[in-house]
Amino acid sequence: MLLEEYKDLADYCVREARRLGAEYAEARIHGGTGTGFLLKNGEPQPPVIDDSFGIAARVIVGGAMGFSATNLLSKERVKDLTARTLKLAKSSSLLVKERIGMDDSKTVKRKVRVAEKEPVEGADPNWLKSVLLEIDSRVVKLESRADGVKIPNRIMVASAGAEEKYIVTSDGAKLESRVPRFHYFGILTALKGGDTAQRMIQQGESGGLEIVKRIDLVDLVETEARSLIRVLREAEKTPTGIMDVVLGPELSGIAAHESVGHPQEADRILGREGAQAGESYLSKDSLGTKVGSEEANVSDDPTIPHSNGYSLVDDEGVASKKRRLIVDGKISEFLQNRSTASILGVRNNGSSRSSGFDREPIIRMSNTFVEPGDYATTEELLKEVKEGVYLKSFTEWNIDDKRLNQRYTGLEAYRIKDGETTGLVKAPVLEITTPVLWGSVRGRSKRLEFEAASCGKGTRCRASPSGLGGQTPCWEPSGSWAVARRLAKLMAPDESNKFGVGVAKRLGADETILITVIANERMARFANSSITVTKNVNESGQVVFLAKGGRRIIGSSSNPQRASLERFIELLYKSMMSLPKDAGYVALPPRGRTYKPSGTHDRKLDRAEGLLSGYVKEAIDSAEAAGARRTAGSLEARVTSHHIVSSTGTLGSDTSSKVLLNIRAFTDKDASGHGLSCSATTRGFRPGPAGTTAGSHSKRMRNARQLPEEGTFQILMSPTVAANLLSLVGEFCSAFAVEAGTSYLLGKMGKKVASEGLDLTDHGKKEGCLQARTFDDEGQPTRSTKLIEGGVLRSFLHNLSTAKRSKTNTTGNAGLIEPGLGTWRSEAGIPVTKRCSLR
Amino acid sequence: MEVGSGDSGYEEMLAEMKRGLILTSNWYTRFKNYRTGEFSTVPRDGTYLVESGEVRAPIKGIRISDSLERMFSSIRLLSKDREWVEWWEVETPVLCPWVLVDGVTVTKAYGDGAPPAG
Repeated sequence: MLLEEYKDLADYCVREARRLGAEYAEARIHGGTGTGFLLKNGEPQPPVIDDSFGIAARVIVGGAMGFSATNLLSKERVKDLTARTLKLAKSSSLLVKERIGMDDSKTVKRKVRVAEKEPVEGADPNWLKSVLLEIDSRVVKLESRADGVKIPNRIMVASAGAEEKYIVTSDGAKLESRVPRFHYFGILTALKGGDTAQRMIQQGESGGLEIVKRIDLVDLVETEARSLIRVLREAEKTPTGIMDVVLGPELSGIAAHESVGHPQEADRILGREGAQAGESYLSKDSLGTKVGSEEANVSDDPTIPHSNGYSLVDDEGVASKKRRLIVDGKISEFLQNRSTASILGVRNNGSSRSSGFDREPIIRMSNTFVEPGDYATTEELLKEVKEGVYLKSFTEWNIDDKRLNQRYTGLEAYRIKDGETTGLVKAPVLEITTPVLWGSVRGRSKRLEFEAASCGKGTRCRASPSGLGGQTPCWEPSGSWAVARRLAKLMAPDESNKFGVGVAKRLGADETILITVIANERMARFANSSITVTKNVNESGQVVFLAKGGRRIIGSSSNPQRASLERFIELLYKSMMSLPKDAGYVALPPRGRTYKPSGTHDRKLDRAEGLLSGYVKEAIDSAEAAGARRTAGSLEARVTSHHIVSSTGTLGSDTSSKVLLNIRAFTDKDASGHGLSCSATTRGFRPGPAGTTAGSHSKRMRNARQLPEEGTFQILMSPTVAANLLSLVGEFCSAFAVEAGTSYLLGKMGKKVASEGLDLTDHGKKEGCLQARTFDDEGQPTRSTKLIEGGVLRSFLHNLSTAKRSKTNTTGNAGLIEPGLGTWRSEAGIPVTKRCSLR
Repeated sequence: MEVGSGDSGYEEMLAEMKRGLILTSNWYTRFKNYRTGEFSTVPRDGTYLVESGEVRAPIKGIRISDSLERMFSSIRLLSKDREWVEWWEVETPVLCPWVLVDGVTVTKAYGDGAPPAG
């Protein structure tokens, strides 16, 4: 058993926590390995192999909760982690006004192993590539019969891996689980003249690689591409007004997720997500309340075989079950964990899950859907409509944080006249309140289909398999690495990097880069002006880049030990050598650089535990003095160091710090205010004024009213709002996004793209920056790059590969696949996906 | 990332507004099409209607719908003061001023938000 070697560490952690006085203790070994492959406009990119494993400990002592996590898996580290977790909880106890406890849910001892016909273990990157190339060629072939419509921009990602967990609690739970998954994500951009249409496709299930055939993935994407072409060729002006709509499974699924599942999460209802994912239009007294018509029936069920949100036991060791959220229009139950069930005095339904070892378990949806009804087919439903619109797929969507005001923009959508579809319509927008939407349901078909999705929740938002299915990167460990991890000694970052470069050289690699990232994060979260959890996450990860004979591969590992790293690099090298030459390969500059250790970080933040409670108290007191009745938020202190060694002689390290406060104040359900303080050092950190800002807005927002009428307005955006939109402008400056055709700035270099007054600059290491790096992931020096100057687009963000293709110089913004803002995207992640997760 | 500062004070920007809205926070920005930059986003927390330079009333239940290029091609004023922003909705830290833009489409949802009777 792959988790076998770790179990005793988790068991020890719980015993030790109890010995030290914890009322409740829980330990979770969590992680896996997996392989991902990306195709950009038909061109294969280097494959990525990930390995992430660690332990999380959660304790309750004196009614206060502590959470810690690390990937440094040794008995000494776990002993230290356990003691620190209790200390963290105790340190916050003075600010715990609402004592935290677990209900008396029956915990279970169980092994869950999802069957695979074709195991995901060691999924061959070449096989993933061949699946994507087949899909891509089918899409391209459609162009010949598309009447001038082209699909020049095609991003496709295939990933396969397994998520593994071992969970033990002080009240008897023991869960061992392994859930393999396959996932596909794609963006197709179609063009005709000046018109464009774009389709995002997510598909995934739990199981082995047979999923590709089971869901007919190749045919499915081809069908979507065909629809996209039709939308661009045929869609006509959409009718407007109040009319009947028929929602296909994709639309009813997203609506069920956003406006039923989320507002019925008990932690939101109790205010615990107030400053992040938001609260709910419902209250704890809403059970039995009518919120829809008799036909409104919505459920969430983690036990559906093959589903992407599959889970038989939750992360608190409680059996998961189907939850009937709305039955015949009435609220039937909320999604609960042990803590919320204890507060509300109701039965727990096992909805607690975490998205990785470094995240605490919180209430999450699994597979959320409208229950099948009486109509045999969609056509039968359409017959009920005299005049209306059938929304089959959607593009843009969002909803307010109380889950009342939602919008879905249709992509494939048809006009309905006298019970039949009469033709495609262009981008109809359904913008509607939750009670009116669910109060208007007249019928449901028997057809039930699931889409994959990812859902973000929690502080440092992390996607989790959820909603209409879902996906996370989910990886499977090799047994031999697992053994090695515990037996070997930890290495210092530079030693580890040099060792890795040596291993790769011995194997025969032409080029190697090793980057070690060490992050120490402390956090206090609060809700209802009371600390809900204090956290410490200590992680050490390595990014490995190998090249040989024009082939490339990238690895990301959380194994800092010698034997584990050696195994990992051997696996990477073997996988790389099975690949053909990579057309996008660009050699590293022959002579490396030396970067002197630079440290602009605030050393006070190295040991921030003692500061957290004081800062939180200052923020809460200031908000209440300004008029707030309650507050919610998070305070984070992070110190991150990067260490690089390359085969070309590059050597360097740097360390940066930051402290971030996010506070939201409330005077009633509709009256809230927001405050932030973000600083690289404690010197510039101002929790009090941030609390005052939040508190005073919450007071001024009392008796807020609806806008008299829609229209065009002048908008004065605070820095918080403007930063959201302008950081997205920065992301669209990534040369990768431009090459992929997923940037509105494509073809606009040197042209005016904003008002004359707008200057936008990306800084690698400017003094005071919250994200300072001296070198990027290719070992190139970072710099300041003017992206927009006087409203004119001046530069994109480049790494060595994109710079060569654009006949320019790198801007020092590698990410090894994609250049990113502030060089932070070191995990070779797929950036487009983070702009489209559910919330 | 750094956005260049302007030369206006907050009061000056407010005085410049004939019919507008002050937004202090937002979330859930999503794109209809990355290629066109068309998006919508949902304001939350302090949101105020402004008429003739005067703050008239707190407002709830609205949505901003625009394209990034059109919106930032309609900047009227930028503030002198700037703040660092990094939080749930801003992953890349940005040093950013207040920004006043013209002609932004604002919508609201169908229905008053009250649960149906019965």
